[in-house]
Amino acid sequence: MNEQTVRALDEHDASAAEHHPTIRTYVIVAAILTAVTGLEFGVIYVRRLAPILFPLLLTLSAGKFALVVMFYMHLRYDSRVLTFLFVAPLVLATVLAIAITTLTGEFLVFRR
Amino acid sequence: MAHLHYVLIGGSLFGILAGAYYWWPKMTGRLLDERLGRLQFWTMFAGFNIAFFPQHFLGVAGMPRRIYTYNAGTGWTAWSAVSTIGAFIIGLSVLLFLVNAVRSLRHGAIAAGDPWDGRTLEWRTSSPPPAHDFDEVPPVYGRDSFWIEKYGDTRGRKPTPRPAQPDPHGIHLPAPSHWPVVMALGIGLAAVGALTSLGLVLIGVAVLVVGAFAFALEHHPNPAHVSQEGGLGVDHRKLAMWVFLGSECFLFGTLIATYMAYKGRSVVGPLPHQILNIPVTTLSTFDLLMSSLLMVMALAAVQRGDSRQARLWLAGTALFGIIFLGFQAYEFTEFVHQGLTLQTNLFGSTFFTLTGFHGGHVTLGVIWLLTLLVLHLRGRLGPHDALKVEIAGLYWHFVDVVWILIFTLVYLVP
Repeated sequence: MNEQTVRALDEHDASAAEHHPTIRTYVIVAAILTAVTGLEFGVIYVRRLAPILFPLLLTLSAGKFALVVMFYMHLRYDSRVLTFLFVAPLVLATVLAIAITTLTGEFLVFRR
Repeated sequence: MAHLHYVLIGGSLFGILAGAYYWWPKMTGRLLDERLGRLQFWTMFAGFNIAFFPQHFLGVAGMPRRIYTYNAGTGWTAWSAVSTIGAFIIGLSVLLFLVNAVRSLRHGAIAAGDPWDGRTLEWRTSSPPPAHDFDEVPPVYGRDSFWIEKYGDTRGRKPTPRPAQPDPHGIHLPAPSHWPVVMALGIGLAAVGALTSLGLVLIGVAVLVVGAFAFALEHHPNPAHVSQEGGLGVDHRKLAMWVFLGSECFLFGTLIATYMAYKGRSVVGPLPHQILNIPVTTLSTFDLLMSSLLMVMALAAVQRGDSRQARLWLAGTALFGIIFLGFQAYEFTEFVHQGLTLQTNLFGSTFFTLTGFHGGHVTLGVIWLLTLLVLHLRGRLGPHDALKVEIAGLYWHFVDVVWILIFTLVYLVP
C-alpha cells in the first residue's frame, strides 16, 4: 500500500470518527431487524410468493446481514482496511459455497 | 520400501539435521564442534546407505513394508542383516549429535551474531537473540536483506545506513503468564478424552475455561499497552479480530455449503420439513438479534463511562446469549427424542455440525461477555478499555450475522 493510499485512508478514518452512530440509530436498526425477521417468517406462508421465495428470503437476510455489519460492527464508520479484510474473504467464501453446491448438483440460485 | 526410506530419510532427516546445525548457534549462542559434526555427517551418510540401499534388493525380492518377521526361506535374511547394521550406525550417528549438542552447551565456542555470514534477518541480531529480537525494527531492503545491507545488491549498490531511531517509548513485551500453558493442558486433556472418555473431555474443557478466564483477568497496568496502533492507523487487536472474522467466513461458508449440498439427499427420516420448528426458531433469532442491540448499548455505556448501564447491558447481552443457547438445547433435545441424531442421516449430520458449531461460538461469546462483566465489576474496564468491549462486540455481532444466514438457509428456505 503506497503512502498516498494510506493518507487517503487516514483522512477517511478521521472523517468517519466524527460520524459514530447514535443510540437512536442503534434502536432504529434493531426495529428494522425485528420487522424484517417478522416479514421473513410471514412470507413463507404466502403461497403466491412461492416462485420468488428463495431470492426474496436471500435478499431480506442479506439486508439484515449488511445492517448489522455496517451499523453494529461500525464498518460503515471505520477504516476501509477493515472493510477490505472482511469483505474479501466473505466474497471468496460465498464463491466457494456456490462452487460446492454447484459441483454437487444442488445449485440453488438457478434451479434446473 | 527402499524408495520410501531414501526419500524420507534423505529428504527430511538430513534436512532437519542441517537446520539443527545451522540454527544451533542462533538458538544457544554456542557453536557445535566442527570435527564431531563432520564425523556425524559421514556416519549418518554411511548408515543411511547401508541401511536402505539393500532394501532395493529386498524390495525386488518381494519384501513388503511394515512386517516384523518373515519365513527363513524367503531369502531376505542376508540383506536384512546388512540393513540392521546400517540402522545401528544411524543410531550411533544420532548419539554423536547428542554428544556434540551437550558438549557445545557446556564448552562450545561462543557464537557471534552472524557466524555463517548469513543473508537473512535473524543473523542481524545477537546469538541467542534477546527476548524482543531487535532493539529497533530492522530495515528490509529485499529478500536477502541482511546480505544486501552487508554487500550491496546485484549491482553492488549498498543502501545508505539509517541513523538509529530507538522507540521513545522503549521496548514493551507482554508480561509473562503461565496460564496459556494451563489452557494448552486443557486442550490436550480434551483431545485425549475425545479418544477415550467423555468425562476427560469435560475435565479438559473445564481446565481450558479456567485457564482462559485467569489469563483474561490477569491485569498488566502498563499505559504503553493502551494504544497499539500500527501503520494502517488501526489498532492491532481490532485488525486481528477482523482478520479472524474473515477466516470465520470460510469456516461457516463451508459448513453452510455442506448443509446445502446434502440437502434433500437423506435416505431415511426425519426430514427438515417434518421436524424444524420455525416459530420457535424465529423467537430465538429475534432474541439473538436483540442481544446485538444490547451489545452496542454496552459498548456505548463503557465508552461514556456509565458503569451502571455498562454492567446492565453486558449482563443483558450475556443473558440473551444464554437464552439463545437454551432454545438450542431445547431444539436439540426435541430432535433427539424424535429420532434425529448426528448419525441418523445426512440432514442430521450436517444440521448438528452447522448449528452445533454456531452454538459453540455463542457459548464462547457468553464466556467472553461474562469475563468482561467480571473485569468491570473489579473496576478494570473503564472508558480507556472500551476497545476490549468493541472487539468482543465484533465477535458477538459476527455470530449474530452467521445466524441470520443459517436461519434463512436452513429454516426458512423450503
